[in-house]
Amino acid sequence: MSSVLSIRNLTKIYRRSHLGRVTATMGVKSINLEIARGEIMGLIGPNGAGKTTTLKLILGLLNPTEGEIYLMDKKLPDSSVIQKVGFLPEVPYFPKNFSVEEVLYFYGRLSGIPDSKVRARADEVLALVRMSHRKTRMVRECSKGMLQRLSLAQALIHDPELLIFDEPITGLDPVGLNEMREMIVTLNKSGKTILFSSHIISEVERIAHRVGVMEGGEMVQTLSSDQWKGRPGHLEEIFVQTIHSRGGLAV
Amino acid sequence: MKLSNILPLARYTFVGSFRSKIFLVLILFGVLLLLSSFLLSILGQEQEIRVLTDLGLASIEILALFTSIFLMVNLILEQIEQRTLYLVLTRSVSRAEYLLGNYFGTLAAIFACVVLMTLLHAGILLFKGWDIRAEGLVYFASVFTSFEKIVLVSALGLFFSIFSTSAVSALVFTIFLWISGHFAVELKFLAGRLEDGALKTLFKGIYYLVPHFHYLNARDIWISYSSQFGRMIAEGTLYTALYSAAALLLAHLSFRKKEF
Repeated sequence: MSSVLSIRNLTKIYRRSHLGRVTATMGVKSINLEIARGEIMGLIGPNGAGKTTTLKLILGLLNPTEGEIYLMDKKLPDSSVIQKVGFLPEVPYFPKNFSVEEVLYFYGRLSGIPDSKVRARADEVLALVRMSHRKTRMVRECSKGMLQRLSLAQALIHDPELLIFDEPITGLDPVGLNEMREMIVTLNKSGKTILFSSHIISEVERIAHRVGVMEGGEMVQTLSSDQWKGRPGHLEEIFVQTIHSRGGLAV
Repeated sequence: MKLSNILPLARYTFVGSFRSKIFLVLILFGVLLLLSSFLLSILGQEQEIRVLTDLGLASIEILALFTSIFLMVNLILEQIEQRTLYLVLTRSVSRAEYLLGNYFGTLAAIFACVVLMTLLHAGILLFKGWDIRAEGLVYFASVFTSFEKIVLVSALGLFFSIFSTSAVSALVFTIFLWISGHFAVELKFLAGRLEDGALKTLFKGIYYLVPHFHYLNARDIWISYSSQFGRMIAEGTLYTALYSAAALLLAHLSFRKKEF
């Protein structure tokens, strides 16, 4: 399988300067990762493990201190190839004074969809996330679940090849959780490559083909589904053992 | 740089500004200010139209300037704080396009606000018997140069908001430069009076740094140089374009490596 995303020796050190004193904090350290086309890759790890930092580095919201990221064989940052990525943030952030459909038109236009086609495409993705009947609702009137669906719709509006989801299942109720799980699987079956982060290991275990375990900014282990499939809870066991062996998650 | 990215951003910012309560309150305040100048002009008796014109133009300029400073200073900072810029910058939108889209969208909203207030003011003036043929040129040139000041100050506000990353300090720096800009001629005069040395260099430096608002006072230009009015307004426009472009370039240089 060809590689969609290739991360090589990626390091991020946050440097903050206050009154002439510079403090350095390790964000991620020497991350290496290959994601194949059509894969669902999960990043798991405790809070502060470097999952979101890794995703932000891929998306260009942070600049790497060292290392390289290749997306579809093009070195990032590259505006032409980032077009093929859809991003679902952990918390949906939308301006409150717009309707659901206006938000989608906006992101559609910014994703290069012509004005003549953006409405039809917005209707398609709204139907996909089951929000068609709410398209004229203002963002400020949307529930958390609706915002999550809208967030997913904006990530899909330009039909990207790679989807990056930051904690997509955190804070969802059981119905929302089930819907999101089904959505990820359906999108993957339709050919999308998915990279997501989560600390809900029981859910990751159900949908991921491979998992990267992160701790202290490092990718400490990469596992494939063969290592946990058919043994419910086994991924969690591996995860806890891995973290404990590194002295993490002390109670 | 793609216009297809700048335009949706500008349109979205324009609509967002008009739907914000703060903006609507400011427009309402502007209308009230114009109406109050209508009442105050009665005190001017035979100079009624002159007082009404001056008060109205000053009200339009001050209100639009403060609106622009307030909106521009908070524009990017709010989007950083609310993280709404994540979903824009993770698309194929460059940081420069993002800044320009937001800048022009806000300017368009303020421009619409200025046009609305000018129409209302001109309507009041006409109602009072204003001779538009005699004074219309200078009046509309004044509104135009007021908007040029807004263009320039907005670019400064945007730069300071990105450079200082605090709305309060950005507001202070922008207002400081706005005030200093009205004393550019005095600064030059002071520099000329000083003997060569560090202080003279400092005053000269400040003189070149602050915006030269005396290029943008249409009424003063008309009174002093009516025969060269068109040329001087054109020079003022060129100055506005260059100064604003420099401020936007500095804003871009501060923003391009920013992390979120």
